Amino acid sequence: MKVAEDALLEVDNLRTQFDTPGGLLTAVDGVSFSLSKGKSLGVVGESGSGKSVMSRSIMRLLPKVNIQTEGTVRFKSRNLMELAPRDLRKLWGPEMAMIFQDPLGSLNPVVKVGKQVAEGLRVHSGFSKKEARSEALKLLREVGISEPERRLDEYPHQFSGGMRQRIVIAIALACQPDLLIADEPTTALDVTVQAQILDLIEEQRNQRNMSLILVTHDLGVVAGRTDEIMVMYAGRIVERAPTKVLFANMKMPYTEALLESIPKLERPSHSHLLSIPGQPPNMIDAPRGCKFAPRCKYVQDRCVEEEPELISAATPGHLYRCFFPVGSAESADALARNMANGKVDESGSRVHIRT
Amino acid sequence: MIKLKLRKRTREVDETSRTNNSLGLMFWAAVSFLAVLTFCAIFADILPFKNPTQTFKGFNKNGPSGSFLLGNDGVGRDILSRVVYGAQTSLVIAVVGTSIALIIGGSIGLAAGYYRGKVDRLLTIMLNTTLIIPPLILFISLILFLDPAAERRMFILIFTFALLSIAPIGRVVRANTMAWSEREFVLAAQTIGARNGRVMFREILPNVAPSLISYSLIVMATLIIVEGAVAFLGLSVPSPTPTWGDMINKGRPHLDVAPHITLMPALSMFLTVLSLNFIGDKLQEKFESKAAIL
Amino acid sequence: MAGSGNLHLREQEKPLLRVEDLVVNFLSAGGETVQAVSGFSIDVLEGETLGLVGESGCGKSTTARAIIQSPKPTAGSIQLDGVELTELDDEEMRRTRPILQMIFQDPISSLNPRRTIRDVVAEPLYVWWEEETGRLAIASWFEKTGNLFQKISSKFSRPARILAPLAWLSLIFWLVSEASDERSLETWLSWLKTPAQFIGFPVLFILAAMAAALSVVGAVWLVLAVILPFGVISGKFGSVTNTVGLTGLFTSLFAVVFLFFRTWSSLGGVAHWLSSGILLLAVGFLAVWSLLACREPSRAGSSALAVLVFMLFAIQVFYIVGLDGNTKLAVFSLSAAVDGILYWLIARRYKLARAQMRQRAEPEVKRVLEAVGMEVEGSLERKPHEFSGGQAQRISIARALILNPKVVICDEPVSALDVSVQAQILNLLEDMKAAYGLTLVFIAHDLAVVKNISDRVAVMYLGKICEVGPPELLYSAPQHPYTRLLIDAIPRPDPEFDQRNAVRIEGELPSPLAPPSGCRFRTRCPNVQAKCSTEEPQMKEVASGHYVACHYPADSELNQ
Repeated sequence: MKVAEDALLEVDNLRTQFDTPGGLLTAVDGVSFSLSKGKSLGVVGESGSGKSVMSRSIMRLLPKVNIQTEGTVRFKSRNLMELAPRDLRKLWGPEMAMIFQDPLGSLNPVVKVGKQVAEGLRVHSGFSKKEARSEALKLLREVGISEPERRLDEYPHQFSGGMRQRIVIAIALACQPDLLIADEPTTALDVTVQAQILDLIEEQRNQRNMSLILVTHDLGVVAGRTDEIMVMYAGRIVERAPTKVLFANMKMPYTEALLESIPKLERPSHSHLLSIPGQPPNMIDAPRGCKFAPRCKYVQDRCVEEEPELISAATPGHLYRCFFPVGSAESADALARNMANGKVDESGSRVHIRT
Repeated sequence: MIKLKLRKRTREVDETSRTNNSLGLMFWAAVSFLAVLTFCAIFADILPFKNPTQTFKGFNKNGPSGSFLLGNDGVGRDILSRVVYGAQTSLVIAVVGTSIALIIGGSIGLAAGYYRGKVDRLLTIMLNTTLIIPPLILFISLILFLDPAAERRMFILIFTFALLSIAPIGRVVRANTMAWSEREFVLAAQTIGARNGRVMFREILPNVAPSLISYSLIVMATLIIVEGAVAFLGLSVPSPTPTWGDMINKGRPHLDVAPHITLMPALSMFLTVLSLNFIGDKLQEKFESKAAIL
Repeated sequence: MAGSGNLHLREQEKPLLRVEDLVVNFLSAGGETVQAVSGFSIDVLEGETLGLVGESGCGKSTTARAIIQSPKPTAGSIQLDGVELTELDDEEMRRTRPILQMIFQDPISSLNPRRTIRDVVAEPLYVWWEEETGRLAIASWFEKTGNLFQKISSKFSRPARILAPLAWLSLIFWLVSEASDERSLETWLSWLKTPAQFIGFPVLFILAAMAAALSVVGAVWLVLAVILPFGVISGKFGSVTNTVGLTGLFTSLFAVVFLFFRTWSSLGGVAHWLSSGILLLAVGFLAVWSLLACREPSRAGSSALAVLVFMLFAIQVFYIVGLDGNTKLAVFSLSAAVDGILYWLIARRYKLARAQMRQRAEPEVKRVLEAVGMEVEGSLERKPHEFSGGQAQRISIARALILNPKVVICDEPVSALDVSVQAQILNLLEDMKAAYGLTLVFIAHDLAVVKNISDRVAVMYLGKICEVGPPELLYSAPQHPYTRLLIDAIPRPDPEFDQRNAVRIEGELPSPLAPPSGCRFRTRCPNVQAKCSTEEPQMKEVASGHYVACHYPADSELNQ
């Protein structure tokens, strides 16, 4: 894989395994990518695709017990995998920060929000109490909290879900990190608030020339916002491309299926949604071949037998993992064959597999 | 995400956790100790224990020997049989006291947590009223007021202990019930037309029960200790009926020459309380880790 | 917006569900009134899907709960199939519930973690089947004993009717007490031999009744005697089992108290026979209860049986503790043996009955689980946490469907799910609606989702309706500025659509403690005018079937 010269973050062959009573569960399997300074990357996949585990592995936030992580994560040319916990703590905050899905869970319920925002500043930037407070005030104003002077002294439960997420963002941004990882930051929020929060992250990223990894299950969330999109399935990257290229010319059937399952305003009501039948595979003893094969509408015998490699498309920077890429003549043939043998119904969705 | 993945394999997880290994050897050691103690206490009359009130002349303050496994006390009585008969008193007081508290406190807590509002306020006041009674004063006044015959002493003990345990148990149940009532399956049960009683007993109680059981074990342990303390003041079941607290108290003057007189009952009390606490903790831990998967 | 008026209600048609001027107020922790829903009206025709959209805190979930009457709304009318739900009492409402089902947001939390899928899905059937068997039990019990009771009581005057059960109980009481004393047992038996003395019976019996009524214990017995027959008649306690069980519980509590006193005092005499009598009665009640519980295990469920076992145990402990050394051991061994056999019998009978009920429910459970696309083999005995969110939501839908409801209220059923699973569930709901002829009320905060499933969409803001209309019109020509903003907030899977320039709603939902005057949306409205703060907009029709509550709707000439 080509490594960009100015890469801020380089992940090479990252593999995370959980030792469960049922066996070794491979949550992330050989993920490699790089992210340049100031760029944004959207990571998309269903629950269980390994996207959250991957982002935590990069941050090295996973507990050590029963979890093994292999591969290298280079951040500003330092291998995070080799850093001692003490050095890592110095990185979290001023270098890289993370925001999570549940804003209430990420805030301490008994500490005033102003203090929580100022905390990182005092620890990492050595601000005095007064300086930290005025900086926190500035931050709260920046993340769009009205009357920050008053709200500085309130507790997390006095804020609404959207406002809490804004505070979490303020805490994450406090020490001017170069990389922000947002793990499903809007999944727990309403669409209206989701739009506000995504706008806010976008705006702050531009202002601070920060890199962003936005993890989500909704292609719609990353569509107009990130420079690149990486689609994950079963712990692997199945497609990666610059956003516009991906939407204009997607190759991976999984990406296509994800896109089709989103209800669209343009369609009339009661239109049948093309859902992805079944469940993501069991990652303890995953099937041979392409991991998406059991749910794919283009599936052929070859897909079940051998696993496709991540290959480059004609467009630079576009990678995918499929033998019968969407839009190719082979895939059209494959679909026709599947329709003929009844694997796919006339509406074009894979025949229902009982879950 | 991790959770979701583990879900697929939870069947195996459940099977492995059902084996003894997940509770640990210590847990089963504690259970066996309590089982043996309970067995001996119940069948003390037909098991080959010596008469706990019989004094053996010339054996005063003797250490453990072949015929007296735990030695003799200050007046020559067999400590082993006194420990076993003392266990009768301790266990009956602890089990019956906790059971009464469990029924009353449990129902109060369940109703208060489920119905909330006025019912809750009223029942909480009831629970709190039991807390404002100073236990020792209640105790002493009851004993002074009533004829302090041995059997009645036991009932006063049980009555007071039960009264004291109602509020803590009631509060635990109330808090748990409230937390579980928030879950949507409770509303779902009401939506299908189930009566309140059914919702409480079939939907909420099974979820509250695990923590309730482990908590009552700890209450039981506390009652055994409190009984010991009360006996130390000479307010428990009077001699010659053996109780652990009384035995410890009586051994005190001989502590320098015959420490085993105090040590043996103290040790059995210590082990019983330790076992109860340990089992309670382990169960709590197990239920919690199970609840975490949910 | 967010205005009043019922213009959008379709008077000419007969709706299946009709909500009019619904008001829901809560008391907040601070004692202030939260105006969650203020004058919400909507109607849903049979077979229609109503979509209800709004932000968190706009009152859409509160509306859903108010429709199912839990809790009851503060004011307003809710008619389901012509029945006014707000006027029903608790019992009537409970009987109406099967046709009005609900699906919840959090699929895992809406399934009891300690029950298997089989029981979760079949629970509605168990509830109502047990209800039936309970009623049958009442009927047969009434036939046998009630007839006799009525026959006797009809011949006596009113006070006698109250005294009769009391007297009967006192008689049993007295007999028991006599029997418990060996000497009087002999006397009693000799009475049987002497008819002359036997005639003295009624006299004694009335005397005993009066004595009982006069004493404190008598008062308790009065209560119990009334609870037993009248409790059943009024249906207040549901079934015989429950009444017997309840009485048994009361009695056993008394038994414990009396045993306590008995062992306490060496008085013998009164205290002795009192406690023995009550003990016997308590055990009797509990035994009858356990028998009834065996016959219809449903009623007094496993937890109730556990209580019973515990009660019996407590009584025994108290009884045994009060005995002397040798007797203690003998009674203990005997009662342990009897208990063991009794519990084993109960457990066996109970298991059997449960198994029968499970078996009876199995075809139904399989049918609905298959209908919602679950693999039946291997999932029946699993617990909810072993399933993914999407599967758990399917199970929830199966549970709602098993009672063949008419209306299903879906409270954000897809908000907690991934997009791919969301599509599965939306398709499933459409299929189920067609297959079962359901009427749906679908609540969500995502307009795109709502549009896909609905025949009619209502947009809600701060407890009031802003706009109602068919989805096509509402989306192509939104009239209310709030609807416009909601549409703009939907994430588009299209990189060409510039999300950064979309109009965004500003600020937060105002506090429902003190909603803004006039139009409730005015504090966040981009087109706000002076009139908006003084005058509340009323519903008006802008196109056929499309209503809006705004002074300056998008297409009007007033809107600059």
